[in-house]
Amino acid sequence: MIGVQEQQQQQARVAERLNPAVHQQLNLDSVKTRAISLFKAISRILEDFDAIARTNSTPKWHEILGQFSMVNLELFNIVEDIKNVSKAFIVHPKNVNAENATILPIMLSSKLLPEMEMDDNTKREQLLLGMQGLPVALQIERLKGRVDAIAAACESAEKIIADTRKAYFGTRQGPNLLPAVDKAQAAKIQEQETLLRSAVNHGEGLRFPSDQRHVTSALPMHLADILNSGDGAYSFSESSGMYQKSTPLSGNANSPLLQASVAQVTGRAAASPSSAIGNTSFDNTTASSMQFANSPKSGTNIVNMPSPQQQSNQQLQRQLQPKKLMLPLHQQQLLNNPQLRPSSVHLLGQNQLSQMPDISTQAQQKFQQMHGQQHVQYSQALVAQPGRQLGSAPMHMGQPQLTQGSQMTRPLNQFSSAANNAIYNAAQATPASQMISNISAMMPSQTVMPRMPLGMGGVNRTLPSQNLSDQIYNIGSSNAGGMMTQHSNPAAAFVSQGAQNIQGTIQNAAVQNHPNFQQQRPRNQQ
Amino acid sequence: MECVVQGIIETKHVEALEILLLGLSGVHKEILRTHELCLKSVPNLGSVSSEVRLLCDLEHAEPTWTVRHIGGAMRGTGAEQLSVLVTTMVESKVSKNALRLFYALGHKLDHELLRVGSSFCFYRGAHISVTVSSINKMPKLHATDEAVPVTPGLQLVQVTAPASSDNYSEVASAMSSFCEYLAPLLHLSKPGVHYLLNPKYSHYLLETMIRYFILWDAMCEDNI
Repeated sequence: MIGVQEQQQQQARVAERLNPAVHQQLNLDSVKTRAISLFKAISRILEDFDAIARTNSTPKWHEILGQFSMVNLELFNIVEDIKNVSKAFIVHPKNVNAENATILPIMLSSKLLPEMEMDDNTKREQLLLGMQGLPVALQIERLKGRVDAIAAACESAEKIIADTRKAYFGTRQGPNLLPAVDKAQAAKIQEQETLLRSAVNHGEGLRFPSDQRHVTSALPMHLADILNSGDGAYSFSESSGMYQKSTPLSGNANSPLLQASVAQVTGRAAASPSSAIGNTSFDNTTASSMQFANSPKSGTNIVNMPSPQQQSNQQLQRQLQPKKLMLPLHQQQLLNNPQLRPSSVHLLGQNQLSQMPDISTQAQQKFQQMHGQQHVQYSQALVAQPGRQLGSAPMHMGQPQLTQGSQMTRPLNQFSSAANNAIYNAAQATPASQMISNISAMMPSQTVMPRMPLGMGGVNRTLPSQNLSDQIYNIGSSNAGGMMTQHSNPAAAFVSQGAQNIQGTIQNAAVQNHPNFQQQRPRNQQ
Repeated sequence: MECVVQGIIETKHVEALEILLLGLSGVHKEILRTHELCLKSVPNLGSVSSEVRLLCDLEHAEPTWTVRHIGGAMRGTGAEQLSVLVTTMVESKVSKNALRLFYALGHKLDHELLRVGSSFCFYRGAHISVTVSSINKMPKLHATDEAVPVTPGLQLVQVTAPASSDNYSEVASAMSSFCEYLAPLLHLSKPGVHYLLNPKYSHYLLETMIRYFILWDAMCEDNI
């Protein structure tokens, strides 16, 4: 390093008289003047900064930036001028002291920065791809050839563009050399265009009516593991906008389970002909069992039926038909029982005996519709109406097989203590065994519903038959003006709770079995 | 939000367009094969029915799912002056369970289509992505192997760029300036509006461009 410096110094001394050409080119005087003025400007700016710092005033950035840009420009010009002749000179450090020592090696090195070096290398590789093996002269030739080809292509492209532009703007109607697109074609293209755009943006032309929608036997790979092929897993938007039943995860595995649960429910129905609030409670039971069956505790993954209260019966009907659920036929019919449920539910909260006449006609009509199959439910419907259970209930309890006549002739006794007593007696007369069997038939429902709401005010969930009978009798006797169904079915008791001041655990037990009616609980516990 | 314009191009010009895009963007095309399922919510869910699109990318070995919701378009005089359509858009990658989830939520399949083509994604003032694809419909449900084009002679060109509410005008201008480069081949417009194909001097210019770019392409790749 030092040796080089000495050499350079000697060379500089030798060539002290500069080459006149270089001298002219460099125009040293002007450069010197400019350098001095630049130095003065910069020192002025620095002084300004000092003054600002001393006085702690906010600097006027706009002016300072202006001054800075002027200085910057001036420096740039000077450097440009010097660059032209810089090849003739070598700059070497004269004075190495503590400040310079660390920076000097970097400044003096001719090696590029690492990133720049990498860039350089990659570009060189790209350029000389495949040519590195050849001698340098050949490489140079090839590169030249490339450059020429590109230049030629650019020229021809520009020429053609210029020609076309002239032609286009020359003849305002469009160049004649181009093939004319006739109107028919244009119209066709236009039509296709609208078709395509509407298909993409709005889905026109891509929808199929529901009857044409059936799953192909083989789903594509990406859908095969998501959707089940056998299950009607798709839900297509229909005008009715009905609720969608979620599909079971494994259709086949579930259907026997579903059948089992359904059988259970239907078995229950059979065992207790006068049980529950007829169709309504039956449905509620079914629905609630279904609901709870979906809960994580239950092992099966049964189809989730929406809350029956909010749903119209038509939706139910339609849901059942297209889907491939394995509901037995008679349950479908039970569920199809159209207006009973809402009406009975509707009546639950009502305390009006005046409605009874209306109800009676309703019941009559319904009965006529469903004669022969569903008289049991009708009996329940009649029972469900507050205040109506008096007459018909005991009859129904005793004889599940009723004739039409008996039903009609028992219409609607108003509340009266006499009737109440009659019921009470009838209850006592009713074979307790039947009541008990009904109750026990209701028991299994609890097992299906593990999420039975607890905490019903200390309700005794296990209902020994004796206890129940006692309670029935108690209720029957304690309700002076109040109606109480001593219908064995606790659910029936629950039904009437909205109407009367019912005490006792029966309705609590009933409510247990019908979690749908949980909201009525507070009214129960009066 | 996103800015979007659409255009139509005849299938015979698609290759030229791809070369042009290659030259303009500097990126190679990515093959696109997407199964789009459009799900609509039932009227009882929410106050208005909404639409959600599930896109399944079938190109790679492992299908990936994306969910996209396109909201309302920007309206007003400012929006009319823009040459692009600005809509709210929310997009996310999801697992394959998304379809089951939406069915469980009550959505129904409204329609589905298969998009097959190529896409170019690059940055030119904005993150622009151009897709050139043929839209196919499936005669049977979900039968992606049996898809046929909706319009055999035409393909759809869609240029989109994500934007936010404070920079959408810059994005829109970047997109329009880019779309001007494609003017000889096709006319891009807002999805609701459409124009006739521009047959004027496109053929001539098209040939020129093809020649130019093929040459350029060749020189980049092979060894002279």
